[in-house]
Amino acid sequence: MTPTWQIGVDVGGTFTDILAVDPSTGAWRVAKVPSTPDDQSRGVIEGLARVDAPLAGIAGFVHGTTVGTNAVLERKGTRCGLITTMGFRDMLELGRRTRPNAYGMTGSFEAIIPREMRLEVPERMGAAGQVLVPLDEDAVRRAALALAEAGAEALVIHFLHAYANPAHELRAAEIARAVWPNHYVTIGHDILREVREFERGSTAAVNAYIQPLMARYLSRLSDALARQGMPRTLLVMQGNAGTMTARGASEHAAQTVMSGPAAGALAAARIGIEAGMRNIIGCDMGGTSFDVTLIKDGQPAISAEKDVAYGVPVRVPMIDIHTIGAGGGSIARVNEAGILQVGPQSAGSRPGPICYGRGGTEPTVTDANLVLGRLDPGSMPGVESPVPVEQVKAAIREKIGSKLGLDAIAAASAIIAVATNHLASAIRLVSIERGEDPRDYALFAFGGAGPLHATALAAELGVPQVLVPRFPGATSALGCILADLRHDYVRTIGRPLLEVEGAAMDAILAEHAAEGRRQIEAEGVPIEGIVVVHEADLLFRGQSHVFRMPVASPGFDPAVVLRDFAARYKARFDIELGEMRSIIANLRTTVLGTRRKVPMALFAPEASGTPVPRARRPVHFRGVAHDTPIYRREALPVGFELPGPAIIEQMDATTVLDPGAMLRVDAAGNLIIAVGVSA
Amino acid sequence: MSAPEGFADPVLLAIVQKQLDHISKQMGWVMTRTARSPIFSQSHDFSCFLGSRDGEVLAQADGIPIHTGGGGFAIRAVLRDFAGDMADGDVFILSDPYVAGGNHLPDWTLVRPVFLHGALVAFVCNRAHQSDIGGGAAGTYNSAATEIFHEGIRLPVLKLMERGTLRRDLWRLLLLNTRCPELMEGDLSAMLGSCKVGAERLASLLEELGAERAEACLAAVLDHADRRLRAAIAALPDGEWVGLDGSDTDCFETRDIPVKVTLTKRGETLRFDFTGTAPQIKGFKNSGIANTYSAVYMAISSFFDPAIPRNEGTYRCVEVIAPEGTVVNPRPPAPMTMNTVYPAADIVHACWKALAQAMPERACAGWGKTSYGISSGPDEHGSVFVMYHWHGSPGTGAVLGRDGFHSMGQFTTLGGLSLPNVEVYESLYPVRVTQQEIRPDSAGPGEYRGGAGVDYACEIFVPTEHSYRAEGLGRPTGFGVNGGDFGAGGSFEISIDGGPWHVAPRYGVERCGPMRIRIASAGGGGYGDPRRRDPAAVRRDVADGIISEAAAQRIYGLAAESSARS
Repeated sequence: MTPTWQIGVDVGGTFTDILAVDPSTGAWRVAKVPSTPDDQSRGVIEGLARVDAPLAGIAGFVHGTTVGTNAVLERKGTRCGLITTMGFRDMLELGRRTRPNAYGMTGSFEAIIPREMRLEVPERMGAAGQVLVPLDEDAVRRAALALAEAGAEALVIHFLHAYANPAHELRAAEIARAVWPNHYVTIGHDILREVREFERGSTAAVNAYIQPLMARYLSRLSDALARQGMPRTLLVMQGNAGTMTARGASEHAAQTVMSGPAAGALAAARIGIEAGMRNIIGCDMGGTSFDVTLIKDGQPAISAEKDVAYGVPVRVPMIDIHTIGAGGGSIARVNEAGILQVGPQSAGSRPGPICYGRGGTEPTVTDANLVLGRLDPGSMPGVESPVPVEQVKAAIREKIGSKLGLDAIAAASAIIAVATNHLASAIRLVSIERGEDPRDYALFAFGGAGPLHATALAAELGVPQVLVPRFPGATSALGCILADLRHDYVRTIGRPLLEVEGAAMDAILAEHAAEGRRQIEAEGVPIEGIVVVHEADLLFRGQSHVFRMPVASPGFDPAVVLRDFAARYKARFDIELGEMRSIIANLRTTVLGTRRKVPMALFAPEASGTPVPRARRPVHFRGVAHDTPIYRREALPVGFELPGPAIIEQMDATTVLDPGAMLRVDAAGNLIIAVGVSA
Repeated sequence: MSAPEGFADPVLLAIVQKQLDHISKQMGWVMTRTARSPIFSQSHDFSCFLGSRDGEVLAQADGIPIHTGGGGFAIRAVLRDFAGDMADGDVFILSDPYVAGGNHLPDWTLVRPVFLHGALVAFVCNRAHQSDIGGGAAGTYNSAATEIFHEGIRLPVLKLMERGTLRRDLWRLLLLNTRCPELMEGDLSAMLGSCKVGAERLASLLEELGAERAEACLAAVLDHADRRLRAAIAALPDGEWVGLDGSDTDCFETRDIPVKVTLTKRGETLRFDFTGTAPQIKGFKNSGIANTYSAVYMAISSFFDPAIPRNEGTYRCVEVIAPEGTVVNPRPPAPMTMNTVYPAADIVHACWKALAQAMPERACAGWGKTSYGISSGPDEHGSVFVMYHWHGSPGTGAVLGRDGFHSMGQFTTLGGLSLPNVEVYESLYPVRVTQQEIRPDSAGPGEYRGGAGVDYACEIFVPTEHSYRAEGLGRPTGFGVNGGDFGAGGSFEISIDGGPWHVAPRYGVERCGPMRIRIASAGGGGYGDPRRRDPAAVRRDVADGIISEAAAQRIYGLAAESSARS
């Protein structure tokens, strides 16, 4: 059998989504199964069986995972030891001396490596990479033995200024490896060759903390897949929306942080491009969180750093995803002063919204949607014994309405209005902070709850169009199928731009590119080509936030780079800092191994003719009940147009079309909604 | 400003409030990404806030509490001096705490009026600590000052920008009065940029609401905060309580400088009366009236539910009595640059102590007081560098349910300041930090223990001017509450030109050769009886070296064998 199937898997906290596509025949299948947190590979194998793709016929298998992210959030990673520079063993605990919450005396922080597992050795580099104190090799050996003895499974070696001169870290690693019982030794500069000891050390610590878990999980899954006859290497999504081999992911585990949402953003970008919308804002709303990504000219924004949890930054290039705690499970309350608040508390999936009938008593956004008629009380995914709508209504009337002088419908509308505003703030933050006007973008709504709110959200923001993809709930799995192989490299320069030699910069960038090519070739994954992108981080002397922009290499010319920098800075911040000295902080290279593209038109619906509503029911919009048709998504043919109000239902999501909005089904089966002025 | 009768759109109110907060955050975002000085770009020693057209602070979501609480004084000074002489595109600048509503001279405040259809509707403000403003010591902290004239240039309310055009003459005057003109130019540009963005966003929000509704909404935002704090105060019993804190130095000699507050709670109101507080002092630890209000507001905000909004409406039910001629309301020309730290921390501590008697379960243990100074000297490019030794920060106090944070930094920022990395410091300045490590047995004992101080050591390779500002030395300052105990006091030693170690001066400015600094910073206070601390937590602290075996047994009552490391 010639392997032709492409499989994308996204393992979330509640569900595992699987999408299987065979581009040669145009066949595709999608499945959603409960996740199996004790051993996620069971859920994956179960899902595979559900899509019925022959394992011997699999050409590519890409996996997005939250194993690493969750281990950090829940502090369930492996026991690690740290060997660091004399005088600095507390740097990862002291951090930048911020607090989780500014005013209230609340919030706490637990270092991922406890203090007793952090040891110091005499050694010291200066900022220019000069040796100030030679490495005490015996001390390294003793520290490694002591940490292994104390039960550390993974070891982090992290020294000050190792980005400038890694000699001590390399030698210490050599000594430690000789006595360490396994290969879980993470070296700071190897994970990130960039100035700032807290962020670099934290990234290395996260890597060590999740590495054994990732390695064990991925090898279990690889073995299971191989046993069942899958001929190809398992690939894993990274936070930068590229993929690498399972083996690479086991080494560079920190790269997998946020890989699920990154896959979603990637899919959003690709679907957008094929739908002719290159500027979109990805809005992924589920039960507990709302993830926003800005996609400009078909490219998701990349950020250099993300706090996985409070005080735990991971500084690797990642799709820039802004997350707020707002979802279907967000709880609505009226505070002492009589103001309605929605979130940040969430009912989660247990007990969940009142309507789930699992003991929830606090009204949530989902309950409000139900009361307003936007959700079908008869078919809530995963809900076994729903609570009657009248009961949910009564709860909203009692807990919200009575305190605001509103009836149940008006109270539910108010909950949706406040929630929508909260979501809109997140979008404003992500767009306006980058100097982008959300009105120049389309909203790309996905996740189970995204399409429920997108039209109202767009109206609030003045965004003219909404795109709801074919599988809102399986977008991340689709992203896995679309992702290219990707490796990122960085090197701190930290010198005045006009003082560096172009040839020296070219040499570093060429080294990056060669390393990337070598990695990709070693991974043995079929690719169509290799793309190399070079960038530089620049700033003006004294600043500490860098400005990243593309640079040409070979042929790096500092004078040209400076001119380009000044022009871009002016365009972005409307400030001219021309006379100030500019510094080249870092050089960066991204190497992509491009995989065969899957055309989106594959997912076009097969339906034809004029669809008939499955039902009609009253749905409330802005306080007025409209008799609203309910359609099955599968029944809508390409080219079909539908004025709001309407509700479109499918297995993994519900789309709400507000009055005044106009829906059209495009050639790939996406719903394109013109929001309309009156909506 | 007060909302018209019958304004009852709680949904719209919640939305407007969020948007105001968001605008102030956006201003801060522009500032961090464009400012020149590390103090802004890395440490966020600035604050952006919005004001009503009457000069009440509407939103202060961005920045650090001691800056914004009294921000209304600055806007009201602008209104007083330029009422009727304001136009769209004007930007005012001010700093003086005596005549211009400033908090202390280094914090320069830009105030930009916002107009809608030609009518003044609001203000956007950016208050930021400048790297240098002239005066007797580089870096703004002249601890030898005895008059405000020794502390740098004083700015009354000035029009820096007129209808969008910068006043170049004034700009040159400002840059002439700093040792770091290049930094100041970049920083002021960033402040102007952030105000421009804020003004545009606020105008467009108010435009969308429409003039009438906008006015009602802004008033309602203040009224809402007022109702929230009143409701929280109503839960306290009526009564009168005294809180006492203070210092043991006037910057020149050792003496008692009490800050005393009598808190009276009646119904839904609080009165903080500072009668009995020390007369103003010779040194620069006097608190101007705006700063005193900020400190009282900070004590309240951190004591009550953090979900209560913070704007000037919040504090309508709070009365502050600050007798003239005392350290909490001095007469000119008393110096006061240190006031955002001291006596601000003394004021907050005194207020917390009084509040704790009214509601013991919300008591906040004291934060260790700071002792780090500031080095300034020539960098390799020949410019003046200014470096704060704040990696030697003290620990914070505990509260019910949570241990204090280790070495959390300056008290009056409540953790809003983030410290630069040592690697960055060493790349920028001719210094080397050789230690920043948790200091064993410095955390105040308690069921919830205080945060530990640190052992901090630094070498400075070039001759510098060092400004000493040491408060948390010797006697402990981070008090315990409800049976918890003090965190340890600190120590501060120096060695100049390779000479022997000796105790550093508490205050003052010295020109030093290459020097070494060694600080053991103070610990925060504990909450509750240490013998009630979870034994597992005590054992973990022993294993981690935060408390010694001996202290675990003596203070926490841990049996000898059970503290052994497993």
